[in-house]
Amino acid sequence: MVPNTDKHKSAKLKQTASSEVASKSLFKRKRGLRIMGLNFGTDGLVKGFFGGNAYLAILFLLFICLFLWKSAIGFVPHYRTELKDARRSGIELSNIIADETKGHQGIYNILSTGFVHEKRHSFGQQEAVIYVYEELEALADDALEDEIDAYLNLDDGPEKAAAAVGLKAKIDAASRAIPAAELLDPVKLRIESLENISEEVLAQAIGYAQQYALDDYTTPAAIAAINKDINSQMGDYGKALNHCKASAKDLNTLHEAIEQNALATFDLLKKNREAEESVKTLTTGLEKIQKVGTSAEEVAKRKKQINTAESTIIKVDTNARILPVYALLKKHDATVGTMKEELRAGISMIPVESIVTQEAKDSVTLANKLLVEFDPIISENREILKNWRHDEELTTFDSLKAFFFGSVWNTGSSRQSLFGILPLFTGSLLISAVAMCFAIPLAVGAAIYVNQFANKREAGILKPTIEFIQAIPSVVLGLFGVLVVAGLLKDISQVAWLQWIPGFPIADRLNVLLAGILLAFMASPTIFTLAEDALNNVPKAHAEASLAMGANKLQTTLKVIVPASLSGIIAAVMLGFGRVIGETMVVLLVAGNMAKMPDFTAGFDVIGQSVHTMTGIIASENGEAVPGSILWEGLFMVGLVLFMISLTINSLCQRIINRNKA
Amino acid sequence: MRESINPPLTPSCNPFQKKKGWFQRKEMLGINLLRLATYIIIACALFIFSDIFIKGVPTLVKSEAPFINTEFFTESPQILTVWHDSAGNEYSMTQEKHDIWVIENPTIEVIDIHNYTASGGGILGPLLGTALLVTICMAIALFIGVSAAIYLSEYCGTGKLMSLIRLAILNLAGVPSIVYALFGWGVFCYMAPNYVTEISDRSLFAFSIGGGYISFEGWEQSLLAGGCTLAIMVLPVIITACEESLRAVPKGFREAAFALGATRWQTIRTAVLPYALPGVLTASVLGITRVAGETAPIMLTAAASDKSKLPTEVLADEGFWSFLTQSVQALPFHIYTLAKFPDSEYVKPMQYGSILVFLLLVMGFSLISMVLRSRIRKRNKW
Repeated sequence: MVPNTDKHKSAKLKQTASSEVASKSLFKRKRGLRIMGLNFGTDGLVKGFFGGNAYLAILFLLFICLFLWKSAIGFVPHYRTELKDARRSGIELSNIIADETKGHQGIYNILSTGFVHEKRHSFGQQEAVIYVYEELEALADDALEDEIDAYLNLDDGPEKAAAAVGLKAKIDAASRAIPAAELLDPVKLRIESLENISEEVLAQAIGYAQQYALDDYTTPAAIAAINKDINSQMGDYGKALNHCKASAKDLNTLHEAIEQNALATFDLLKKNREAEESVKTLTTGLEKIQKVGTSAEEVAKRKKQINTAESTIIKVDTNARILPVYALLKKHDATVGTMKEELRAGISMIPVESIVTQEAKDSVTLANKLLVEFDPIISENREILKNWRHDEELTTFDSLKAFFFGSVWNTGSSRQSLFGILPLFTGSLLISAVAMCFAIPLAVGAAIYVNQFANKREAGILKPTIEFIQAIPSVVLGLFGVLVVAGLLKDISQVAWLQWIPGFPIADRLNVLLAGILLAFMASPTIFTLAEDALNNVPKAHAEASLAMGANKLQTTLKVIVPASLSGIIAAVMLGFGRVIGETMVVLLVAGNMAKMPDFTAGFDVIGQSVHTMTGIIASENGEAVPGSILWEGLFMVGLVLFMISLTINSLCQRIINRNKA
Repeated sequence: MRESINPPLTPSCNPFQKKKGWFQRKEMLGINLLRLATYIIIACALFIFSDIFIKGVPTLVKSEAPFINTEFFTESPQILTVWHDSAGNEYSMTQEKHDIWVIENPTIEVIDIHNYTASGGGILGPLLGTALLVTICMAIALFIGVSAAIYLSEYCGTGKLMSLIRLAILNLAGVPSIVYALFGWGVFCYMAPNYVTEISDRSLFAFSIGGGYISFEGWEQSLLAGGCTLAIMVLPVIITACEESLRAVPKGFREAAFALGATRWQTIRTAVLPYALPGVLTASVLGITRVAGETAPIMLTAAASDKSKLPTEVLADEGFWSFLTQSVQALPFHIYTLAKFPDSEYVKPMQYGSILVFLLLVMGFSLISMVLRSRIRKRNKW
């Protein structure tokens, strides 16, 4: 029986005090000091102490939520101003046109890659001379910089001639001292098809390298001649390619002009904003100091600072400054039309019949296909630009939309900062999905095996070992991934008979697959432990009934026990997913940290790409974020998204687990 | 004749033995697949441990007595300088030693010189930093966490509000550490009250006291900020684990104590805490394991990659408050710094030495908590 009122207690105390046993009692009690209904005796104080701490902890945890919200919410209006400035200054417009120039550049790049392939095929050895020469040139520059400089500073005359002989000998010695392999490896990287480069090529290149230093840093005539020779033989193809390249000349000039105008305005607006911000901070700082009470000198100093900050604010008339942009915009439709036609003409000029290599042929086909896809983009852009107004209002909703659906995260550039969470979110999700693909079969399989099939001794070893994995710090796993697994994975992905696996061979050293594998290993113990618990909770009678019906052990497990514990296993998987999506160090070290949208058009090869993640961006960009700046708020916004995701997952899992227990 | 009727019972002609049919084969295949999944995980773990162990041990031991590379544990990380002379000999030393070497060997030409951050010397600074961070964090977290757990399990009832709070705490235990890091970075580094002589512009609120001011402008990246962030991060874990171990003490114990006339505090002190203590201990070791292995919060709130003074030297030279508000090196952040040189042979010994020591430390704590837990489970069968 638990006494619940003090009256009760004291009555009981009187009773026990009279008895002999109670006088030897372990528990002596004093009546608490009571003031205003509060107990100030030992008991009350102890309760107050514990309660105080409990509420402190709860307050702290509540404060986290509030603080995250508070810091993140300021982002929305600030980002809106940023976007508004970008619109008013014309950067938004410039970005739209940049899409077109980028599209052209993309097509041209594909064509020129094909061209290079073709060239390599036909003129490998001659090109090798050029590349070896370039390598040597760089090396000579590194090693003999001072001497070459000294030589070039000499006046013409016999002295210089003598020095030339000495320098020649030195370069000769230096370039021969370099092991041929070291020299040729980079060249081989550039010309994959080239199997061996002859001694002759090497000697030739060394000769040219000497020429280079003696001729005042100009490319030797012989090298230029080789280039010319190659180009003349590739004549028509080269000309067609040049035509393609030149087709965007006008558009590029137009874009450049708009961009410059817009950047100048944007810069002014940005500076103004910063100045206003600093005036505000200085003023509040001054107020605080005055409140505390400080010397007049200090106040005067601060006031002067405020004045200088104020003087840097310049009034910007965006309406006037945008006029040249509108003037340029009128030319856009015609220019982009010409660009498209010229590009088409250029591609059709390529002598397809005389092309030898398959790569070059493919490149032309691909370019033609992309050209067709380019059409609707251009007409859509025309439509957008026709209706574009620099003074169109931006709502808070637009700023939120730009954050949640923006596909570019780019901060710290001189242009406008872009905070689109989509590439980060996709990166996180992609890595987690890959990790789950590995972790679910392994961890759930292991849980089923240990729970159902392993004998007691085996389970006694396996279970703690797998749980032990949980203790590996993530940074250790990340470094291990960088040092060992990255190289291993890359080597495996290049093995010929494994090419049927989707995504192989892998292009980047640090990629989604690598991060996924490491995180799968990290999430396995979490999933294993919880799934094993869930399997344990299935009543024995289920299994016994099934066995009695003549089902074997495997059938019983898969058709009775696993379905019965399915909700628990799902909760385990979800918690594992939550752990993976919130993991920082591993993804920071091995995901490659490229803040761009993963290219899903590549199909399964997407797992070989570098991505950035939500957790990674917070860890990698916190260094540049000044408290209160838009970047700081942006990072808190990302943190808030992470927080909400993990809270949702956790509370769902808690609900499932609690329901199972009941 | 008789023998031919009753052939000897060899296993091959046991009349009761079932033939292995398709179903049995399917069952064996299924079980073996599950077994394979289990052992793949174990194999991965073994591969990681053995690789780190094999490559890390050479850094920690020496061939001569005392067989332990004492330099690795008594020096702080320094810049490693690697260079060649014109004869092609290779040298790698810490930068300080390199400077001395250059003075001692003025005739030898130094070419091809490379510097690697934090790759020479030892790991004393980071080890000390981690120990201090964990100590501060656990002091705060245990103090608040254990008291909160006692209050939650012994004093307050099971009302709707309380179960909501419990659920909230449970959920917060699963929030990613980077979110706590972000919080600590904003609050402790830029908002907490600090004693300063000149108020910074970003100060939220300030008042004068003595010769200086108490200004709410934060502790920057410091030991205290890192410790507090880690404490808040581990608080939900500690509260949940402690409460669980307190609840595991049978109700009868409390009722018996009450029946003897004990007050609530006396009951807790004599009939609950002694039996829950091993559980609380396990919770705190579990907390240490979680905290010591964390990198992100330390990275945002406490870490310095390069520091000339040891934290203890700062204590001796500049006093206690400077000691608390200094930035420290920490082992996990040190490892993160080293990850910037994935391919360098010269950095490998430091990389593997550091992760081996770190792994052993964290694993050691984890092992202790596991052993403690299993012992409690065996002993407490009331």
